[in-house]
Amino acid sequence: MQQIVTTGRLISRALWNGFTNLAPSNSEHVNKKREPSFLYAVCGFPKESSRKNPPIKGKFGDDAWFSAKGKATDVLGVADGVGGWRHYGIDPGEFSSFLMMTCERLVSLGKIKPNEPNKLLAQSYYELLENKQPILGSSTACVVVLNKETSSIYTANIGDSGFMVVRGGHVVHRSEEQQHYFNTPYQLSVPPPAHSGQVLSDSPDSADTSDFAVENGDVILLATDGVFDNVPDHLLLKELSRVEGVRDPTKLQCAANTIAWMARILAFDRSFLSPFARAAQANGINTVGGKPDDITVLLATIAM
Amino acid sequence: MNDEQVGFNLADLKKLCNSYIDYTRTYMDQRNTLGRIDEEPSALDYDFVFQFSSEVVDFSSQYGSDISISYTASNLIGRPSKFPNYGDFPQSYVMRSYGPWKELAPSRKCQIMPQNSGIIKSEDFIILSFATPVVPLVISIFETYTPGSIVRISGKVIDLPDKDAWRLLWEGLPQNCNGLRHSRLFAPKLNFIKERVKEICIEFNHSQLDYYTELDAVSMGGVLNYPENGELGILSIPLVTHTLSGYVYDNNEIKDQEILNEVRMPSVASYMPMSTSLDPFLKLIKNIEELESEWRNEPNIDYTLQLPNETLMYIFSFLDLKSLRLCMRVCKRFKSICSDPLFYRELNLKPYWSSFSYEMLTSLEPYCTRITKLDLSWCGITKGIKTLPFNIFLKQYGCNLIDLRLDNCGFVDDTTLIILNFFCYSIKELSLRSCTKINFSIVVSPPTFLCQLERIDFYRTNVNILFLESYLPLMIKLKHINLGSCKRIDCMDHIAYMLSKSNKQLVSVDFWKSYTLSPNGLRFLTVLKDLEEIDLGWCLALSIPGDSLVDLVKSCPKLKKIIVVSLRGMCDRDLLAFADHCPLLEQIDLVGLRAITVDACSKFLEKCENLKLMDVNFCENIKEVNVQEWRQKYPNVCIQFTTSDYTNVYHY
Amino acid sequence: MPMIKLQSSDGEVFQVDFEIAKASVTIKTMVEDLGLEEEDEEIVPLPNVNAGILKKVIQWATYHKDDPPPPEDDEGREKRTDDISSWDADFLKVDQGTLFELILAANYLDIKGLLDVTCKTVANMIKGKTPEEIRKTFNIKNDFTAAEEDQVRKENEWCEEK
Repeated sequence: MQQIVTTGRLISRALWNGFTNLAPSNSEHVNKKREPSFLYAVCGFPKESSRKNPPIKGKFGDDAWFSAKGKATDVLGVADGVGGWRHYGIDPGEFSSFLMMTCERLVSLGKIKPNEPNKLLAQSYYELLENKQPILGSSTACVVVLNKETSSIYTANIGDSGFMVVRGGHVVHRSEEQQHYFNTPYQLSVPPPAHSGQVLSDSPDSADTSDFAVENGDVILLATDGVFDNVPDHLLLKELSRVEGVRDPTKLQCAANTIAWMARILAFDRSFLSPFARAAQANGINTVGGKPDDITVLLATIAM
Repeated sequence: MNDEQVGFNLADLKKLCNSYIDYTRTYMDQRNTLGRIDEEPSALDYDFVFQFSSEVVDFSSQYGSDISISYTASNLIGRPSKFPNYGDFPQSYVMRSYGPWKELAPSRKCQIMPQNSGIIKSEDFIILSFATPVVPLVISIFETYTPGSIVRISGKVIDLPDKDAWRLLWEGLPQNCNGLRHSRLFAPKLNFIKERVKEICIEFNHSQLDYYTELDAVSMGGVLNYPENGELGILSIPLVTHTLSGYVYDNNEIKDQEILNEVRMPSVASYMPMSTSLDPFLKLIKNIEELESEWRNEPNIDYTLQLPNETLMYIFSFLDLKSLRLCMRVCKRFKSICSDPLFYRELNLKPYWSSFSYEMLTSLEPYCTRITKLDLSWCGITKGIKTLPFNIFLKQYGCNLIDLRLDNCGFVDDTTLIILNFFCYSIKELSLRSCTKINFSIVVSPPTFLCQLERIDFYRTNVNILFLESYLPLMIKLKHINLGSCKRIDCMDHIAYMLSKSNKQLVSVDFWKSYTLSPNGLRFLTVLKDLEEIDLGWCLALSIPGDSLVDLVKSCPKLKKIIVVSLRGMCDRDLLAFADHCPLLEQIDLVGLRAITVDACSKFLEKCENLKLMDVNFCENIKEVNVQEWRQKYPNVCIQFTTSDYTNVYHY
Repeated sequence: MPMIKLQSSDGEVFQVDFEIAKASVTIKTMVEDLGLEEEDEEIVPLPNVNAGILKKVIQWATYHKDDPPPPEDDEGREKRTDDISSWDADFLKVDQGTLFELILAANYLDIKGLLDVTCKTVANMIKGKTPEEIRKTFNIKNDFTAAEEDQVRKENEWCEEK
């Protein structure tokens, strides 16, 4: 375990530029009025990394993410496209990508109130239907909205992506996985009209919501199940605790890269008893190893 | 193409034509200066401010629904999101119609007082507000699809305390961009005004466009204060350079520099109107000038005295309203002729919306005793009149009114409906598009006026089921009803049921964006045997129509126009049913139907001999090669289709 | 095709194809009422039109003989003034007196097409002009008192704005 973590940190120094993003400097925000804001970094890997397709901002394989600033909010979100649609000729990444990009637009246009992240997801979902181009598929989604006025985060989660808040070396708040049954998370979906009866489609109302007061220095990890299924909690906690209170974007980026890299290595480790494997065994499936999947890591710290 | 430009003012016309000659000069200059982005414009000495619009104040129509952000007016706020990409994007502002198709549809409205339309008739408008009031020097409009429809830009001056004053900043004929396959940054040369402006109104005429026009953003640059010594007039600002430079000034993000390089400089040709529009006017000016010089050496005889009054009246019947009113001042005889109420039987004040006021209405009032058609569309923008005076006017002169248009009139509210009910008992056509101040909460008894109604347009209003329940049963003569984007109707099936019971003479029905119309509701409409036009665009509850579409067309053989945009479950069977049962079909809109196949379309095209327009954008199974084949085989049909290069979702 | 004879107010006789003369509803009605035969030598008198004007009217009607009949209804299309054809514009490049006489003739003879195009031409010469300019163009005497003129101007102040 130790080995992997060190390697991860070393490799992450060579920034995987195509897949990372430096947060804009928020120094002016920090000086004003003690309002909190997100300093974030993102890193990830698509399941099949091919040199052919150039990296697209906001996507890692079928995963998608976004960040946006509203009137008094900072928002981050991830979505994990359900891969099964490939069999029907539908690109799973289109749905998650569109969902996230629409969330970003809704926030920038000021259409969302800070304490209603579930409305953000819901409206973004309904916007899918307003597009001339039919967007089909399904995905999980998780958004975290930082309300600058009340210094709290409001979250909404559908499915098995999730977030984790770390303070003082402990996890003080986290999301809960929503699954119908093993490996079948809750998902927002727009099926082709002919198949609407047969496809799993959860309403945006079924999102889990929460609100939580945050403090200066808190670390928030927002990630898809590619991370949580492969990296055990204690490893995550270790990395996250290291960046508590950190404002240096480079350090944040390194941490994000490390987590993503860990997830990547462990996913393809056939003998590792990953959290996914543990859950499978608990459900009566005898298996070991990681779960190859798209990985998206959004790592943010609260700066006031 | 139908040219609706019937009335004009010679002085305006001359100015217009001169301004086109000016364009050629100015833009040739600009072509040479573009690229020198680092050149510091001297306007900076005067606190030059560059900004994108921050708020949408009002507009006449939009493609998307009010609660959405796709294809809606709210997309004009802030920086451009897609420009300079070219395509049909949901992140842009799109209006409800384009081209000549509205005028060819069964639901077309006739023009009121056509001689008053002005050179440039506007069909849509949008009013945008900016954060900082400035003396406007450059206004740029970022068009990302089918450019060329902007015809007028006006600015609202803020420094006048008591009333809204709108100044004309630019005016021109729709531009010839139909061959253009890239986005355009439209920044015309503005008239100079000395006052600061915070809101601007952009007017559109899209009757000559091939397809929907789409806008991404609007920016306004200017100086904070008009300099005391008036030197601003001397500044020859390279407009486009400034706009792009301002793009950089506004934000430190480096990527904007890349956009700067990518923007295609609008060609001079793309700013010029189509020769079909401009040539007739140039010819007309020439004729008038020739005649004037011919008459210069006339003996001093007043030949008008030879004409009987009726003939003079006939001559005056070709005059626009302003010319008519100016004629009144020529001599006593003209005054008496021009005061004849026959001239005011039809009154169209929409072209004068920017100067509309209570005084204007009162000056016309004495002549309105026989008024039958009144168009006050857009006249509420200036807030020049309040509800009560208008109600009084209606009460006095409304008894002969048969056609009343009050689109975007903010001074119309529930009380006006009461007045209409009691005093305007002859009304046959009523248009209340975008009258958002009406709550429709008053149900008058006994309701009388609506019994004559043949057309009612509720587009984008707050009309609710309760109101319709009370009045629809009485509108037995109703032929046209528009319930598009009426978001307060939460059960459109019920409305459909009512229509089927009481309004069997319907010729056109518009349900655009009504999310609650289901196949059950549609089935009720099968009793409307005279139906010629039905708009079911974005009725998402109809996504799986089942048999309802087939049943509908079987019983409505007179259908000429069908819109089924985005009813994703519609399939070949429905399309072929249209072909089989609707021989008169002229316009069909099939955007976004992924299940329709090439085969079915081919059969459809073969059967529908009267077809004029078919829109198959975003139909996944249709490819460019099929469309090209069809275009060759059926040259009379306008087939709308663009390759999906323009519309790749990932072009974010 | 039958010919008919038209006599102007000053005695001149013009022989015109009946198909062309039919453009004038007045002439058409007169002929049909009188029940003229093809060989008849009846002359149709037109006391309100002099020879010069009648000649021009015939010229116009001859050129326009194949025009479709103007629509009866009052639809808005009719109110265009920018659709005068080049031929008509050239035809009407005459002095004021002639133009107005053509109007009177077209009115008397009830030739809608000619009436339209002549009246539109006059309307074009009025549009966009100030009252003073209109007076100047048509030599109209201003018979308002200063007070009266002022009052009318005040009533229509909004016409001044642009």
